[in-house]
Amino acid sequence: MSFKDSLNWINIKGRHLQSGIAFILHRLTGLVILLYLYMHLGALSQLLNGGIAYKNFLSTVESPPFVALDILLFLVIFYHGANGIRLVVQEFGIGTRRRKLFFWIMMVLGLIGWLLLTYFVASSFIGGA
Amino acid sequence: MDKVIFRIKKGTPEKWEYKEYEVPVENGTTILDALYYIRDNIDRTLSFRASCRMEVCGSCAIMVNNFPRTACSTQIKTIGKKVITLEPLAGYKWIRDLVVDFDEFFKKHESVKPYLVRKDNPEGQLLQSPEQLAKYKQFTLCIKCGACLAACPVAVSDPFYLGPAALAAAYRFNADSRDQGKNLRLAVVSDAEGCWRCHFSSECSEACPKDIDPAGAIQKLKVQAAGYELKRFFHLGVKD
Repeated sequence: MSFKDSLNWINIKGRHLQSGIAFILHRLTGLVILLYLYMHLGALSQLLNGGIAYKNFLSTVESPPFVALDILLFLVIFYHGANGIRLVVQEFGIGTRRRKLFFWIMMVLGLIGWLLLTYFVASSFIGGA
Repeated sequence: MDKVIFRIKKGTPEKWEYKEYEVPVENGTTILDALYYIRDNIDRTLSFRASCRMEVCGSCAIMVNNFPRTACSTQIKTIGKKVITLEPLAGYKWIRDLVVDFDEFFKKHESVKPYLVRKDNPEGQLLQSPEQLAKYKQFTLCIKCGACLAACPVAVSDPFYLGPAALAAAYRFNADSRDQGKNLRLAVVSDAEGCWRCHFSSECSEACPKDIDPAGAIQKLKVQAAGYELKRFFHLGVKD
């Protein structure tokens, strides 16, 4: 099997939203979260350069473009979390025939969570600015 | 009578191309009807597999617009497209045109011991209640068409994965009250390339032409396999 074949999982052609596409998104969002983890550790390592350098770094990442990226990151995390809870439940063999219903319930819950968090972040950011 | 263009992947792995064929279609015309029409009237070299024409033998599964379907039970008008692309099943060794090699599929199926295992030699019938039958009945309807494996994003990127059909067959016999070979099967399927390779994309259940739920069977198999592994880990006397 070639390297190209090993990437067949990412092909969205013919896949269903609540099944194959949800699976692809789950993997991709997982990769984004992993990448973020390393970036976060990198950011924390700025402390090694001293308190002033770290505060300067924080003032950069608290700017509006970075907050917008944070809000997008929340979307990724909420999707991964909501879909992950669905997978945990269904991998116990519960409601496997009701995939579409389970998927949409979790997506709506995830979306509500994301919108609430976005509201709190945005309001504290605007209030603090 | 309407006309539909079929784009068919034709050739061998060494040399292939998409060829287009125009086929007259009316209500009820199936993709298999169209394939026979092409072979009888346009291109006598077209290779495809088919036998029963009524979704029992499982021979005619192919990719229809990137999704696996049995050609005999897919009516062209239900697809609602004027151009339909037909390709050999994904995830299998391609031989030519729409024909793939099923050897690996059946080897995997055989590896899970898809038959009743008895330690004793019972006389007479092994009786079963309707409730006991209901636990596995849907999985007895599998026609081994291989559509589930072609739909699975894991199976098409990992040739060693046992795949939904074999794992659903393992669950079918594990859930059968007459069977005594549960641990034999769990020893096979509780493996990195067995039920734990499934990540519940559940495309297998979307693709199954018999409306079986192999994804559900695999998850239930995982619960059985987890119990089996825990018993083995704590040396609680797992017997084959």
